[in-house]
Amino acid sequence: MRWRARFLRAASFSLVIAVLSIVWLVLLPAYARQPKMRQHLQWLDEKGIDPSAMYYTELEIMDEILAKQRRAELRLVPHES
Amino acid sequence: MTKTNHPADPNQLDPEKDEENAATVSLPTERPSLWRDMTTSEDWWAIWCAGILLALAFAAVWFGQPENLSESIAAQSPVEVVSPLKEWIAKPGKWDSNPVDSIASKWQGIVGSFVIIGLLFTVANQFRGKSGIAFLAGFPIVFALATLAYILAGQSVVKAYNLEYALWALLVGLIISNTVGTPSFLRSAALTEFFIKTGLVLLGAEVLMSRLLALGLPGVFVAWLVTPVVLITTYIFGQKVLKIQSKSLNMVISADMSVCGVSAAIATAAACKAKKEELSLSIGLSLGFTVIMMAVMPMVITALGIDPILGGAWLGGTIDSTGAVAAAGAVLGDEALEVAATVKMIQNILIGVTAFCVAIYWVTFVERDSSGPKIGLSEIWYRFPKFVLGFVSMSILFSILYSTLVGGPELVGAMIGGSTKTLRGWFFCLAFVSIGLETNFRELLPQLKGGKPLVLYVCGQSLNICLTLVVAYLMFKVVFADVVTP
Repeated sequence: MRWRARFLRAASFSLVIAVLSIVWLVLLPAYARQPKMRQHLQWLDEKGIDPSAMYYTELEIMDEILAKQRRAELRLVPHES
Repeated sequence: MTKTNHPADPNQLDPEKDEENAATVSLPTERPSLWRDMTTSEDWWAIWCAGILLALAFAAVWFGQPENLSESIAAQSPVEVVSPLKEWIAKPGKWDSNPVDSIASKWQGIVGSFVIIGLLFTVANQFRGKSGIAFLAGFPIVFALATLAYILAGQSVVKAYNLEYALWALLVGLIISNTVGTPSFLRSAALTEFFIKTGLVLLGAEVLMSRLLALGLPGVFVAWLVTPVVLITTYIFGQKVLKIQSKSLNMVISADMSVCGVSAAIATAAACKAKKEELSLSIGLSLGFTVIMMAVMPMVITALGIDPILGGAWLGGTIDSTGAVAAAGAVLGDEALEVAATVKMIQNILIGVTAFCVAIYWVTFVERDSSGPKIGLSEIWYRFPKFVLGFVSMSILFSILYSTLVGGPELVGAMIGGSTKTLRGWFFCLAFVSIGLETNFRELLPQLKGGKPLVLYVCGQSLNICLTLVVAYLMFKVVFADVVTP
């Protein structure tokens, strides 16, 4: 019985790994190569957008927006030299 | 007043806590001294660990700053400050068809992150009276699983659909625990709360208060007015109308829906000591709806003929995830993108205030017997999750450095971009792997009972969508129509 339980656990683990491998190594790359998707991914790259960013500091485009605001701020507050 | 046995450390999230326990107050007979608490408790050690990392990261940037930094800023010429630690702290990157691409150019930084976190937590565990060696035995595997989660999250299509690493980290852990089972030696390194709290204190340095005013008064009204109103209304709706049994689940869903998705869920869950399964469920709900809203809302805005500034403010105030807001805003154009991302950034910064208020509310009202007397300040202090103080302190400290130092924005930005945001990401990723390793699928099912969390999310988000549109319209198109320029 113990041997059977171990076998079942190992089999389910192997099955899940196989499914994940197929999805990540075959299906998703194939989808990424589709012209429409490729165009969308390229557009995101050009804009500096990572849709999976969790916080604003992880967003490349935010650097540009903040730099623009910073330039405006420096123009408004001239430094004494 | 009901008396119960008090846990040794009141700030540690107890995964087995149930609502009955949460609703009763406890009067401990013996309390550890402040010194003992500061040297042994997880909350204080999260502050020490994150404090050390932030001090080192800022020192690296400070001593490595360009000699002409102040002159360049005075002359308004472009200046770039880069952290010397940048090459030594990294996470797997983006890939299209070959996962090796995600680590090929980052392996040095990944190994560096492993060494830094492994060393710091081994020492911290040893000082806390736990076994550093036991942690070290399991940590390489937990870190390898977190790396795998990052690689899964780095696939370009997965990223494009806003499926954040937290989801994959959880999945990786769940696969292990629900198939072959989590080996006992891994449990010593699956320090969910310690990872989350340390990550949150690090996140505090990214909560820069001066950015709250980035869009002026209109942004303040959209983010500051709507967000708390929606959060509180949704929470009350969950308690009074839906009668959701778990207050912490209700609070975490309300916060992640009204504030900014996963990061707000993590902060609120830690502040109200929610169960791990409750955090997992909230994040699943948030990510699911974000994918839908990211695609549908720009179409609705275009169909209704709403202009880009108003549309951007609406997107920024409603879509949970920061990256998804930017992606949806960019569909409407650069103006909408800028307004949307800035409104979301202001909401991101509200995490600090939200976590602090939730922690105060929890220790003052939720964790006490409603029929008992009001609890005093010392009791509030004793029960208060101290890591929230670290989170808020780091936010205040780095906001001051950002605003007062010459080149503050450049120095603090380089510190965050070059080291601390990556380490914070690792801590959260490790935390979600740990949650997965400690969770059985069957523990997740009761949370879905009656579909109440789903109803709560849908009702709360509907209110959020309506209220944000109304307030954004009033602020950007009526009251401040003349002064709004992105």
